[in-house]
This record gives sequence, structure tokens and C-alpha cells, in this order.
Amino acid sequence: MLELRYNPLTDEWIIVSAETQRRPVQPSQQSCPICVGGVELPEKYDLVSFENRFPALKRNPPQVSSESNIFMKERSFGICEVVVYTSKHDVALPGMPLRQIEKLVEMWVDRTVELFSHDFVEYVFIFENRGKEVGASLSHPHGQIYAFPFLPKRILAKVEAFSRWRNQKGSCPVCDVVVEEVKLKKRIVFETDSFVSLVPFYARFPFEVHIYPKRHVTSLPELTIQERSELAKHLKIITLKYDGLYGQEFPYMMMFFQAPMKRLDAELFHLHVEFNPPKRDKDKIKWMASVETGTWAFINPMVPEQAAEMLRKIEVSEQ
Amino acid sequence: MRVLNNEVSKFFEDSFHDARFSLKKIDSKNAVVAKLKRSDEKPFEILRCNRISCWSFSERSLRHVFMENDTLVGFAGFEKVRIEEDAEQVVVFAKPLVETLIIIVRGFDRLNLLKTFYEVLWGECNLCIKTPKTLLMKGSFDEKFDRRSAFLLLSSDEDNEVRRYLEKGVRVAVKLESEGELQRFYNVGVRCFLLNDFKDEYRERYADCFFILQKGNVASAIGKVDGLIVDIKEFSLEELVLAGLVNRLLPLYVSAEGVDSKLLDVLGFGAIGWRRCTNPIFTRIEQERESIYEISYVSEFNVPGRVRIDVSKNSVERFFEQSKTSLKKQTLEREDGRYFHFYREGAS
Repeated sequence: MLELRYNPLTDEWIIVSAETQRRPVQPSQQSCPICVGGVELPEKYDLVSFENRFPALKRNPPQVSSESNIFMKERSFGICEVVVYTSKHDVALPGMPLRQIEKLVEMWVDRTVELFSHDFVEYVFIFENRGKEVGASLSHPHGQIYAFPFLPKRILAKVEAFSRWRNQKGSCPVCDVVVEEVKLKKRIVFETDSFVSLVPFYARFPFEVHIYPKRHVTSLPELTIQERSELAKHLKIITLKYDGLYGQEFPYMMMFFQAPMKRLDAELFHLHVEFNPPKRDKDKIKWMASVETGTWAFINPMVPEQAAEMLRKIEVSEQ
Repeated sequence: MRVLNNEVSKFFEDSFHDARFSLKKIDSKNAVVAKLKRSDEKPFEILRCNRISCWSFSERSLRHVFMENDTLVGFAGFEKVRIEEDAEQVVVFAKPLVETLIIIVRGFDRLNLLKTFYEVLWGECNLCIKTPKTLLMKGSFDEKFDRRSAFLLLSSDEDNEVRRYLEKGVRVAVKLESEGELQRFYNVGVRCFLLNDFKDEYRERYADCFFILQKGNVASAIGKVDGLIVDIKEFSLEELVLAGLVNRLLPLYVSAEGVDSKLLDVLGFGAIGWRRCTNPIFTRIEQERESIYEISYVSEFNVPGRVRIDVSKNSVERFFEQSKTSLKKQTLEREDGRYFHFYREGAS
């Protein structure tokens, strides 16, 4: 079964996809489907993005018929891609050469443009789940892209927040935050000419990090070549620092927030990357439990300034 | 330039007060918003400027901004807009609606003034626009490709067709001939209407509908209806480019006849009669040099592009700047219909 179901209690669409249940879970390197010679990628490759065999959304989804005006359904239009960062099975983002991450950013740019060009796509969401703590089903370095047929609830919340800020203050919240944080320095983890990585004042997770372009750009395709290269550097530095925090592979959810480009107010949006790592200590997890899941209200057990200092102190090589 | 019978410079003076309107100064922008307190007046003079030095959009429905030297005066929330011109002066008369705004902006260059004006207006109107950007007539409507991105435009005498398409799940827009037809088509499920006259009560009664005015003035349509059909035949190229800014506030619907449809697409106009390219559009307009505008967008070839328009030559010089990438891409379709996109180093 593959369909969208409407929840009138929250005004949101739920993707019902029985196919995703069939995804393999943590196969060994010998049976890795995305290694060269694996079931998905028999040929040699450097980087590749392909449509998921077990998708939550499809370009040709099955027909649906709504049962009534109460229980509304829609077809699950969309595209779910698996983005393979490298053919090497046993490296991750922090261990990849900077050049490889630069190429990855280039690929994300191209995927963004192509996926947004489909009629049925309203939003393109790039993300990576690293580690079994956040449900990664393959250990081979990879991320995913969901091209949604609707604007997901949290994206809509962001779009509305950007619009409200604009109406009230006449500016962009991220632009304002960047100016202030660069002045204050205390929450900054890493800074270059065009980007700043920081633990936000409003962090929801203990070691949450956001990467903000200093210039007001709405989406990845708007970044200059130089900026794309700097973004790659930030991704490498932050993930290296994460791994250095407790001397272990640090699990995280990495998410790219770009403008919903088909909306007229897309120009108000400011591109940013969020890392939401679930760990609050070496062996402790900050769970998305009842309060967080049920109310969207987060209780952060770590003071953001302290988290920033811990991450800042971890020395890493940029190469 | 005189606004509401006052020299425009008066509005920027700290001591200036007038019982007829309230003033809000936006310091950093050097802009002033005047809100009229009464809305029951007959049309009266709101603006008077010098015919020779004044600039405004040439098309009547877009004549809601006037510029002279370093000052722009724009208005919204008026109806019965009447513009009288002689060899020396341009005088604008209008009747205020309930929410009326006159925005005065001072600064340099026309594009900057316009941008600031629309930013202020956007903020004041608290707008959130989400309207269909494409209305396609039956002949050009493709049920398979257009059902999610466009509305099928039908006339009000096509009752059976309206019902037939609605039953198939197609989104239908109906061009109304009379007010009575609105309720009738709403009852059968139509949610997008083209109409000649809009009444405020429609907003409450038909809260889930899009309303597009077939005739009207931007000054009275902003914040009231969801779109406006404009005739751009008389537009100069520069006006066409600048009208792209109006789209940030009020979607403008134009017919592609006789106009470069790709340019209209780039400028983000709503469309009637032809299928818009489905790519996202960045309607970022920058004035690169005197008379040269640059617009960033994503082209129909799925690559970020820019168009440079030299209005002094009265022609469009379009260039596509491909995304500079060092990657070569190869797309393969597997037997099960899935697409695989391979990227490797090497200029494409």
C-alpha cells in the first residue's frame, strides 16, 4: 500500500508506505546493496543518487479512492532517492576527502534543481541518518532525498516564521542571527568567510549544530562555487568534531532546509543545515519521547553555550 | 510632488501631523506609510506630480506607483482610481476603501525604490499569497501533466464540462458572467473564479476560494483578491521587468499572445492560455547597470540561469549560465523503471 492520508486534527498529510518495511537493516559489507557489485550498483561509480527500491513516495504511485469526505486520501506522488557519497564502504562524511564532499555538494545542487522541476514536487528535502540510533538501515556512507508532493508541517512552520519575522522586523531571522552570533562568538563552533557553524541559542538537542550561509541565499543552487566548497569544509569539520567528542562514531540526523521554491514567498527563506544528534553523553540518548513527539516542545538538558565550547575545543584537521 | 495636498517632504518632518491620516515612519528605509482614517469619502485627489519628470507604469491597472526624482509614491486599498493628465501635470483621484495605504519612499534608483515600496507594502498588508499560477484553457490542458500544477479554465456556460472535470479530480477555474453563478459553481465544487467585480463578503462566505479579477487596478486589488488579469500589450520591456516585482504582492495573469512566453515565465507571471514551464523560478531582479536588469532563475533545462535584459535596446538578451560544476552526470534507467544518476569528476 502506498498512499497519502489526511489528518484533519493536525492538518497534515501522512505517508502510508508498506514498502519501506522491506528495507534491509544494517547488512554486512559483503551483502551491502550499494557497494560496487552490490544488488543496486553492480557497476563502478564515484557518487550516485538513485530512486529507492522501497520508496515512501513514487513518480507513478497507485491510484487511490477516498472512502469519504472525512477520510481523505491522495496519491503518493514524489521521489525518494538514495544518495551514495562514495564507493568506499567504511568511511563516513568526516573521513571522506574534502574534495569528495565538495563533489557531494555539487551533486546535491544538481539533484535539487532536477527534483524541483517535476510538476508534482512541492519540496525537496536532503538528509542523512547516521548510526543505528537514528534508524540508519545501511552503514555504507549515504544520505537520502525526499521530493515531497506537499509542504511538510515543520517546513511550513519555518516558512511562516520567516514571513512573520519579515513583517515584524523587516529582515530575515537567519541573517539577523548570523550578525549577532558572529559578534558574540560564544556559540560559534567554526567560522569561515561565507558560513558559520554554531550551536544555536534555541538548540533542541544537546549537541545540535546549525550551518548558516552568511549571505541571504534561499537554496543550494544559489551558492557560488566558493561557497559550495566552504559548505563542504563545514560539513567535514562539524562531523569530525562530533566524532572527536566522545572518541566514537557520533550518530546524527543531518538535514538541509531550502526554500520551497514554488511559493511566492520563497525569497524570504534562508538556506541552512541542521545537525540533530541524539546523544547527550557518551552512552546516553536524548530520546524524542512523549513531550517532544507529542507537543513539539523540546527540553534540552545541555546549555547551548557549553555544548559550543566543548565542540569548539576539539581540534581537527581541515584536510 | 504633492500627496494629499501636502508637499511630499512634509511627511518626513517629525512635527508633521494631519487629522485625516496616521503616519508610520520606517526610519532605516526612509519610508513613510500614511493610513487614511476615513473610508467613506468620495474620490479625491491623492497625488499630483510633474508630467515631465514623473514616471509610472504605463498600463492603467498597474498605475499605482509614481516616481519623481528620488521619491516614489505608491498606494493600495483604493478604488475608482482616476488619472488625469495634461501637458504639465499628472493628478490621481481615488476613493479609499476600508484599509488604505499611501507609501512614500525616498532613495536612489528606480529599482531600489520599487523594491523598498513592495517590501513595505508586503509587510503592511501581511500577505500570504498562494494562488494557482497557471490557468489553462481546455485545448491546452493535459489531464495527465497539468492536473497538479494548473487549473482548467472553463466558462460559466459549460456546466456539464465543469461537473465532468470535477468528478475526474481536475481543478477547475470558472470565468463568471454574473454574481449569481458564483454560489451555483461553488456548490458543485469549483474553488477558483475569474470575476468582474469582487465583494468583501465573498472572502468570508467562500473562504477556501481563489478570486482573480478580470479587470481592475492593482491599487484596489492588493490584499483583496488573489490575482489580477492585466493587459501587457502596451508595456515597454522595462515596465515588464519591473512589473515582475508586482508579482510578489499580487499574481498577475497575462496571455502569452505576442509576448515572449519564456520571458514572462522568468518574470514569474501567472499565465492564461499556455503551459508555463514547470521549473521553479527565482524572481530575483537586480539592476546591474543603467538600463540593464539581471534576473536569476532556473531554466527550462533544469539549470540555474540568468537573463540579462538591456531595456535601452528594447530587446531581450538572454544568456544561460550553466551551474559551473566539475561533475559529469550520466542517468540510467533500470529495468524496473528506476532512475540512477551517476556523477563523476570531469566537466560536463
